[in-house]
Amino acid sequence: MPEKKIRALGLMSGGLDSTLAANLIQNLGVEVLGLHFSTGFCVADRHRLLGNFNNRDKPYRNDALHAGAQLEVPVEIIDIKDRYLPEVVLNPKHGYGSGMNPCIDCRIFMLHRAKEIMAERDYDFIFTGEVLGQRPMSQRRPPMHMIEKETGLEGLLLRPLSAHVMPPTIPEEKGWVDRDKLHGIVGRGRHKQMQLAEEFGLVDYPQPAGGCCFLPDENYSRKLRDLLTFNGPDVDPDDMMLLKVGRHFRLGDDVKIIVGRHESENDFLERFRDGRGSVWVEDYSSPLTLIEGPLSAADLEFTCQITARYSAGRNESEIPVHWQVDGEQGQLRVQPLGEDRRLDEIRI
Amino acid sequence: MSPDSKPRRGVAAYVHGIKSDVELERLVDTCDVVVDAMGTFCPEPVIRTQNAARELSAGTVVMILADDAGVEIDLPAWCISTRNEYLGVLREPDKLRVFVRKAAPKAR
Repeated sequence: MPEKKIRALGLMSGGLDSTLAANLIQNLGVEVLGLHFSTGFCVADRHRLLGNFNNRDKPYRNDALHAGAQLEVPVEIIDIKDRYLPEVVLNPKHGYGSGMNPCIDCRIFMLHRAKEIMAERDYDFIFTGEVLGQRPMSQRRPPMHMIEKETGLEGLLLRPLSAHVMPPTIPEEKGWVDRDKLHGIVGRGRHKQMQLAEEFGLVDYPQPAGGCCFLPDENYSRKLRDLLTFNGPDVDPDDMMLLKVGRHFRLGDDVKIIVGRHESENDFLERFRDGRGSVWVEDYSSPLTLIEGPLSAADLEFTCQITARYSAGRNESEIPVHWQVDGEQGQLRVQPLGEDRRLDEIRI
Repeated sequence: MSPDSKPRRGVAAYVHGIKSDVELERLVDTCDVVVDAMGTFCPEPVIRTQNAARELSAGTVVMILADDAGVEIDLPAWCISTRNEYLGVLREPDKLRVFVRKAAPKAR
């Protein structure tokens, strides 16, 4: 009877580390399936969201799929958007990092799901591209050990890039992978990883750019907290999507406006116009402003002034601004808002 | 590059399908399954394709309808990664029609 091939699941973000880890394990004769978790908070998704509208010649890509194609490793996208917000972001057992990033709970959630897939589909172990000491919250020795324990993956979770500085795992002890071929990378530097990439012939990988998740971002976290405070935890997916673009201002408990910052954001906001009020300037290059919630006449005038402020007519003494609210439309002549501390007070 | 490593594919190597536009036009009416991903953003079109493909038998031709240009790069990459066959894309003003043929599962 032929010997059963060892099979492993790899968590693949599409970044260099997880790509290298997959390449290493694949080179050791293990059959690899990459799992890419779609949380709804991916920064690259936002770039693609905005960039792809007017950029058909050079669309942004999903780096995990691209890495899978380079390595010829199958990558499956695991959609966890629906569960991620209520189960991970809103109630993290292990707390937040610098923003609303529950990195440890996030890791645990993804590994739990990977463990289920391992059992369902008869895989032998799980690996990640984690590097000891690379990230302050989740990639230190104590949390890495605790994550293994809490997911019930003790001994079955291999970190090939840092394996030499971690206790041997079952795949190493049983000889499923050759521990000598693994690495002992520690810390935040990328030099060794880039060397490995060259050795493996990987030439096209994303540059590290401050992480791939919105949640550590202070500005994004503030908008998310505001949304949860005023809309409650049952958040509409469109409202979540809109957090990724524009300047946000809160005019009242149930009124918020979103002002596009450039053409791509205007194009993006355009898709969400149905069911929302909108304000724009026709005679000058202008943001599209979306209105969420019921607006008083004073709020509408103020919204028109804000929109005018960010238009190319900002230095005029008065300009016409168009509005459309609840099926009605009209025009107001307003003075574009100048330096006004009210803006800072209402900026989310 | 180490002696046992092989040159890797770049993007340009897989963005073109293997069928001509004329052949793809024929598939519009003769494809086996349609996956509607209009109005969704990546990675949703890939997730829908992947979920649909899971239930299909080898050789089935799937037409994915989408208006996010990201499918033109993500679906070919997904095909290479999963060893499905990327047949090509028809570009229309308001939508993209991407064609994929389900491959036979890999023997274990």
